[in-house]
Amino acid sequence: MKSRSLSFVIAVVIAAGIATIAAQEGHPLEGTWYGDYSTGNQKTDLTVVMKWDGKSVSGLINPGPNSKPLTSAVLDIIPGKPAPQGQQSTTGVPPTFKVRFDVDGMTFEGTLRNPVGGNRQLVGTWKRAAQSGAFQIRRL
Amino acid sequence: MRGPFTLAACLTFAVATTSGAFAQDAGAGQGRAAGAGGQGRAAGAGGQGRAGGQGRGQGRGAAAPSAPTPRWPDGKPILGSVPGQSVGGWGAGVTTLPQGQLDKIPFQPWARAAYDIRQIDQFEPHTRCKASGVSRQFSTPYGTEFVEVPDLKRMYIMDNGGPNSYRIIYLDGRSFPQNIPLTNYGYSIGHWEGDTLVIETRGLNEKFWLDTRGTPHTSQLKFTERLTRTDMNTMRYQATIDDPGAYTAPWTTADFNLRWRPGDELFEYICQQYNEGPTLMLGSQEEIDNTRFFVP
Repeated sequence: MKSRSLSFVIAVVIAAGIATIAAQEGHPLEGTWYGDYSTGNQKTDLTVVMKWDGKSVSGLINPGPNSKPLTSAVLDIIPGKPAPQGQQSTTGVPPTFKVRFDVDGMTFEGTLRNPVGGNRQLVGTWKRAAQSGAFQIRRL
Repeated sequence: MRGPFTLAACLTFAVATTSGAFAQDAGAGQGRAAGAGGQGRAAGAGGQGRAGGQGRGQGRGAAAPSAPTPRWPDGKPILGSVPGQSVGGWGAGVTTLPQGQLDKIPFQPWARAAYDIRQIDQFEPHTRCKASGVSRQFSTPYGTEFVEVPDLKRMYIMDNGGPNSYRIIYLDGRSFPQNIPLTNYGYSIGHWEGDTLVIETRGLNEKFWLDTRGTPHTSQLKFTERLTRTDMNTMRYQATIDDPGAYTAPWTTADFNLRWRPGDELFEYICQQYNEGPTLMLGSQEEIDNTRFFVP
């Protein structure tokens, strides 16, 4: 029991450390993302590296000998609504960041959560021909 | 008990590092608390918003008649304290860089969206003890001190509050090195154009905001500052933002004024990094919203 608790504490500390160290405030897609995509009950690890050059997003999945380049990556922004004059800023509606990228015949479409936070996540669905499923990746 | 205590401590800390400067207008006079010997209003009147009780504040009090710009023997303006006189510092003066021209700033769509989100979730990295370079150095209510070292041909800009760190400005005519490591303060080189010190900074990382309101940038940023001490008590500040990663064209801010605070000295300021508050810092500066999970 003790060792399980200790393992949990260590895991939390490491996760918090990674998120804090990597926190950045630039382009929302820039960086390395890690998570998985699912097919039925089966989950497959997914690492995505994206880079913003000022005009377009490029990148790849699963860096290493089996990496595949992104053939397209698009960030689409749905404007929000500022807080009414004189009201708490949190009554405003933040913009929504929609993301779509294509790689290796697969299309991933999702929405960014906490898009300007260090722990931003991309959550959505993927499809390839008749296959489809959910995916989620978190920026490291 | 712990939760409310942490929240209260967190809010106090965030307010201490951002308030006053957050609400202050360009050109507004700076004031210290009564008995501090500075310009501006007495305690309780000069502070804006949530700075009350901090002992220092920002004010709009009438400035005392100012002496001319102090100069070194070679005629160049002295930007910091005058040798042989009491030490002083510059109060906060830079608030929001797009001030007065928000709709004209050539934001890229993602950058404007990021800016808009930061108007909702206002707690910036600086409130979590992250060193925040260039213009953000001139926003802390505790001010900055310029330390010029002519023999070394360099100047230090030290900011109090927040991470309590400093930036080096090289004045020896050097060029930018290649492959500058990205840091919070970047690599700053200055040169004189008449009475104006022009500072260009490159090598900035993306871990801070350029101002308290969340003006975004990327590591492609070239940031140029123009500082002119127009008299003993006033420093005019203007910046040009050239960042193709976040803007479609370079743009220049309005003029801001920093006000001299005689007798102001750096003091020990401990920023409590790694407290439990960062995960709770979302929302407006009137309250902390802990209903959403957030890592800075």
